[in-house]
Amino acid sequence: MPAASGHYSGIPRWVITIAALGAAFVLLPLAAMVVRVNWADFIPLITSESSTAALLLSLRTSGSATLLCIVFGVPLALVLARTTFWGQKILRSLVLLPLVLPPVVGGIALLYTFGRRGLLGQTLDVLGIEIAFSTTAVVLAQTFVALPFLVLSLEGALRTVGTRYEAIGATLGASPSTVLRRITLPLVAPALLSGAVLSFARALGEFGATLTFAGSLQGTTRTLPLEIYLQRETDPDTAVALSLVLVVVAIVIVSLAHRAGEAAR
Amino acid sequence: MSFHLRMLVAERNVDVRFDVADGETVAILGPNGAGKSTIVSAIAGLLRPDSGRSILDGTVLFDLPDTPRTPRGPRTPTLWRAPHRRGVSLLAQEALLFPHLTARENVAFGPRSAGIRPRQSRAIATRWLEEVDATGLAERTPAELSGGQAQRIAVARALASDPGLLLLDEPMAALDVSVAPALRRMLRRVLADRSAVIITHDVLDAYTLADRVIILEGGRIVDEGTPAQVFDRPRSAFAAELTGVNLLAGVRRGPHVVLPGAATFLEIGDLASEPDGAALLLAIRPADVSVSLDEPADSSLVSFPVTMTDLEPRGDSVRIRSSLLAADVTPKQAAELDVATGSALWFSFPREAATLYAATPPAR
Repeated sequence: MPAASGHYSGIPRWVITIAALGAAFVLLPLAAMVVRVNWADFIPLITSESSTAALLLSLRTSGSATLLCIVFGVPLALVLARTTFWGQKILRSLVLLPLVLPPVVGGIALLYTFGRRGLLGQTLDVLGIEIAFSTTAVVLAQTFVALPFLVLSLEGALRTVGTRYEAIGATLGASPSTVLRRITLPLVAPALLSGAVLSFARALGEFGATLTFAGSLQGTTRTLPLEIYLQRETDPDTAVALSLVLVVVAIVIVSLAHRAGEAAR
Repeated sequence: MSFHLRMLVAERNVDVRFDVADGETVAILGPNGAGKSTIVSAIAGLLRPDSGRSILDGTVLFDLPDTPRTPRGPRTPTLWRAPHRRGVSLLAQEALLFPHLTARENVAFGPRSAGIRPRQSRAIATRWLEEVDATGLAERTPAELSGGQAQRIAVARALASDPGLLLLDEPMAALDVSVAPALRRMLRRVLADRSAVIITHDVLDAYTLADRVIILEGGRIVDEGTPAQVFDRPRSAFAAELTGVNLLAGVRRGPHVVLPGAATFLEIGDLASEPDGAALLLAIRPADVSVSLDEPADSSLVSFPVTMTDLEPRGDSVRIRSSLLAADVTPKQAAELDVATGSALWFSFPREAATLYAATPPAR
């Protein structure tokens, strides 16, 4: 495989061979799935009532979860990147814990926090708020697993940008909030965008925590991944068609974000 | 008095105190690690000293008492004004223009932050861009500017926020030698009636821009005065090196000045008012020092038997260094002397070529 740019690349051939195998490992299953799609009934399959309900619920909840990730993730990333305090390393590890935690464990943890008999659930119950097995629970589960993606990418960007621009902004008379709005956030906008997209993609694919904490009620908590899992037993054609929809949505989002990120640079 | 500073940073061993009069530009010179940037950061509010006090135009920037905190009794009140409420703007070595804003938006940033309406902020920005001859660059982004252009915009940006005190941290150090003179001229113009503190390691900057010079060594002010006072009569090894003169320490003994290592005494001359035993300094330019293999016959010369340590070609002259002083000779002379490291030589100079003065500066 000759280097496209004509510059010496220094990569041994055997590395390229293994890389090709790795790429095939990712692409082949996708192709296998596309081959299995029942194209004749594709449109009716993905526009059935349960399918559209699941797709719309997924988009709605993932969007809300992404917003929550931004609302809480940006301050978290700022605090982790810009301040030093006792226990900061521990806090960072804990915030990033959902990355390595099995989602089902996350679901159980959420259930014992917000469930009816949970830590906060009893208080919320008194206030007449019931979260478990509602659409809110779906959003919370998705936020729980998606938040680390945003925090991680934003904290890295904040550290790379450094504080020199912010210091100059302050000496020019800008208050900390003005510095944040007019300097810090614009400087890390590409990272914020890519972090938000990663969070959205993670929320869209969320399964384990949602099933554990929110259940699977059509139109309320049954998101697209749950619908696919459910249909797999009874109606494989629908499951495959919806899987393809999910793949296409993911590809579209990632490419849009990539383009926006390039434009912002 | 416009600006007052007293500060102590124990960790960096910085302990200074100085004032800047209204409209005065003070240059701080010192070797790397002397604490120059620490001082600038503390004034700007980016670094909190252990103790000290600073006032700008009647506004207290910080007031940090040095009394250790006692477990009982009333706590001494401390005051620390946030950077954005100080009216002190900072021009750094790099322009650090905000990359996502145009040149004009960069300059308008200060006025906008002060709450001035966008339209009026733009007008202020335009005026300052004119002041630094950068009107044509207004709509460019920082990526489209050269280093010198960016630094000009940065000057405009720092001034557009109308600071009570302008801090310049080696503003020309990162610039091409070819563009530095133009920026220096521009700074001279805009700093004329402005209170400013400029950090530099360039004597030319100090002469051109500063009304007063502070020499900082090891976190302490070792000399202070007008550029002429400080550089004509250097009182620190650093200032002597900056101005390229040899600095020798001596002591008054009766009618003479005793210079360690010298084969001859000097007449005390017009320093007769100094008490016996007073520490004196002698400055002599390397070009005025002659080199010979034997002791000079002329007994009126001040002469030193020395051991050569180093020989450095410098274009049209050759600098011969010894443990005591350095001499500049022509390449031809250097070749005739045919010396090598460790050679025994005589360095000498006429009494009238040297400047002799008291080691402790007179009260200024």
